[in-house]
Amino acid sequence: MGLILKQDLINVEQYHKMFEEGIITERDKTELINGNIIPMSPKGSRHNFFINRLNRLFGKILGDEILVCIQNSIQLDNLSEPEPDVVLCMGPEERYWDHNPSPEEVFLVVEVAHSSLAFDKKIKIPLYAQSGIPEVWIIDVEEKQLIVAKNPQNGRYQDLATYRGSDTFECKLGESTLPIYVEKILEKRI
Amino acid sequence: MEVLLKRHTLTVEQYHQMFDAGIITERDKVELIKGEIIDMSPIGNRHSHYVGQLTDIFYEIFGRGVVIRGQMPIQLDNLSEPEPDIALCLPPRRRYIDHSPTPTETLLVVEVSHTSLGFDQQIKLPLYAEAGIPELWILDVEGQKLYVSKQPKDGQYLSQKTYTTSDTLPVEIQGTLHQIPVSQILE
Repeated sequence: MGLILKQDLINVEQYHKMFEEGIITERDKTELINGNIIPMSPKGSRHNFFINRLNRLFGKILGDEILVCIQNSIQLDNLSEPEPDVVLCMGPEERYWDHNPSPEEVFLVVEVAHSSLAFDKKIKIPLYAQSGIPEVWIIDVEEKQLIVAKNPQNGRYQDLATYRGSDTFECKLGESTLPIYVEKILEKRI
Repeated sequence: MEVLLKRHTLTVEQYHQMFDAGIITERDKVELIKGEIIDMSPIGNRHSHYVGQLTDIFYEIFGRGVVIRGQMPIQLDNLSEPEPDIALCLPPRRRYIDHSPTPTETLLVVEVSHTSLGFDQQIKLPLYAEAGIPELWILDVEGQKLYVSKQPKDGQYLSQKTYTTSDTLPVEIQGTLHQIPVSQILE
């Protein structure tokens, strides 16, 4: 349309109040990105497959110190409260009784990108970098590859890598380091 | 930004609920356009002048024969409640005590464009046409022109005319024809 509409920005507090008043509900399946209420793309079976895969793999390896959150909100700043597909953050779950995980409490964010690849790469990655999320994975379902962004500095990730096939890499979760075998995540059969 | 953000849309009812709950207030200066809450452009001195000038002209011609509403909402449909600069609506004023004027209660809408000409022509005009607003004036302050659109049909205005300061504008409201020199509007 060639015209930029200046949308009124909604902050996290207003967004929460809209839920309290029933103006939006969980059934609307939205997230707050840079002050905009965005409908999340519907999740197909392939999308769910990778979420379940990661949930099982992480659950097997990780102890109580690290919490695996599936499609829960994290609060990045005053204008953004996304719902990543998978989040690894500081455990145990009791610490989040009264707030959503903040960037300092998050180790890793994973987005499974099927139809949403452009949105995840161009909007979500810079957003996570700006808020200092230490590591982001994007599972590119179409191309069967894993995009890994690390080391956020000045609103950008300094290290970007793409893994596929039998690649391996290391994922740092606080003090511990996790070896990652990419095919265990991406291949239908292991 | 090349990625098009698709925003969650709100109905007029949800939008009103946000006001009732104090989530947004009049001070936010917003309008609801196709389910999206849009910031209205700030109103500068020149903008205010032309709105005032036209309001004076309308009062002189119509008196209390029509309801002249300045920067107040009209409800177009379930997803749009814009606040045009001026709306001429069916009298009496009190009939709007419990609702915003609907398209069938609106006779003429005026948008004064200083910085917002693109928005008014590309977003507002089709929106008013779709809703069946019978007549729309867009006053181009910079270009010293008045764009008059009439006969809304299928989301378009079939009659679109441009007037300059040397023209006289025929205005027919509720069966009575008036002549307004455009120079008087843009004075």
